[in-house]
Amino acid sequence: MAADGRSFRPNPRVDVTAIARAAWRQLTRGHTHYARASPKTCDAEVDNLVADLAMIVRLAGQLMADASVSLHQADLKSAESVISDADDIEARCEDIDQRCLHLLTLRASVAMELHMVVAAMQVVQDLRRMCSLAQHIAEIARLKHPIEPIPADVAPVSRQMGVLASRLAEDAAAAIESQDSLSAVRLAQVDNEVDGLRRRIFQILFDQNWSHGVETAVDTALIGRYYERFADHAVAIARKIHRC
Amino acid sequence: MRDTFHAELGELITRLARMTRLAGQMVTNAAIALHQTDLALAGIVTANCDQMTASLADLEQRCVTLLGHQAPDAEGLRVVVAALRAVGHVERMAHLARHIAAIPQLKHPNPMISSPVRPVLARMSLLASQLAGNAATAIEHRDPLSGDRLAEADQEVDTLRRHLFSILFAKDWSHGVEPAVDAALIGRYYERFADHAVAVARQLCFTAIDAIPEPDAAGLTSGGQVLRPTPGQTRPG
Repeated sequence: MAADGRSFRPNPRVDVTAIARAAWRQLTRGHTHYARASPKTCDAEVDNLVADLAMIVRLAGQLMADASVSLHQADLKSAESVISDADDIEARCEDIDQRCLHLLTLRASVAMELHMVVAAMQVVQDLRRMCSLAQHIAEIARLKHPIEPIPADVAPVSRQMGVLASRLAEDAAAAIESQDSLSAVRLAQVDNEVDGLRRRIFQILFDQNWSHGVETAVDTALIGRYYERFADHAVAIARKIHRC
Repeated sequence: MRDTFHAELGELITRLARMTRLAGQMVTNAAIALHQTDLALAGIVTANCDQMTASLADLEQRCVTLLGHQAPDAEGLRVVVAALRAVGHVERMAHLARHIAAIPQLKHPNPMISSPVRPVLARMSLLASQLAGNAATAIEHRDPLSGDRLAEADQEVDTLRRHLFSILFAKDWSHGVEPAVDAALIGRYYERFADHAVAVARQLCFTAIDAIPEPDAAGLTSGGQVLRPTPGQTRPG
């Protein structure tokens, strides 16, 4: 090696490690968005808030799944547990609201965190509506109890709507946890699917062969509307997180 | 510093009240478009809805800016937060009005023709629009008791909706499934609209809104005191 005269001999006057460190610092400076892979903000309280919020969104999705079960299987017990669980989620929402207010009172937050707290307050509003929508569905199941409120020819469609609605809430929760800015688009696609299913329900209801009477048709249409609104709220949540 | 903050907040609330009133006008127009198959008017409602969404987004942005820059005191903070929540409600009101206006555009023939529930839905639209107007007035006058009064009017909307269902589900309903479903959904839209109107008034009037001077009264009053109706005047009965 030494024969071709190109061997590497470190220059004792140059500190290679220092240069490498400086270069690394240069490279990573001002690129704070690299840090977004891990969604930790510097404030632990805001982090906790966001984590709890995601959990409540997930609970809302679970609530809707339970409401769907109570509706499609005429299950009185689960209908009643949905109605009482909704109040529990409501209480958690109230807690989040108080914590947001507290955070805003305590300090003039950093811009990013301020947006997060404001978004959290708006998400809570969506969550409240989602709970009452799930509650509405469970109430219909309870009201009609021995009978299944959804006739067999629409049931597959509405069941699918229920599955998609609760999955959307699940996805919105994941979007909050990972602060994933692309998820809003993905959620909107699933939401389109929900809208398509709602149109499908109308087709069945308005068909000549519909034989279940006006009251069942109205109930089914309203249930479709509730699912659709629930899905819209889930998308709205993802969109609000996306804006932060 | 604090005075400018409160003045800005006052302007914010005035704009919010104006938009609530506009939402009420939108629902009136939507009802006319629906009942008379007036497609041009339906188009106006849709355009209004888009404008409204844009200016509400602007309003929301200003709320956030206020929070970020001015470091508000506790009561100011509560008002900004209430305003932020009210923005969401007004936005839903505009969207519901658009939904109603879109029905004659989407459905041929118009489900309202020869429907026996016409009068009930007309009355519901009137109440919904009045509720929005009253909510706006309540916000402008900083009337803390309006929430209860509006809730009473809202109960009438709920009663009308039940009445609507009793007509639709009666044995002698002979107009088929589709008009019944449409009527039920329209009733639901009006009812939600009314609920949101009440919620806007609740949000803004139950907070410390009376500490925020009205913009035009700001120069006339001192120490943040504003003339507002006494409880005896505002609450009938």
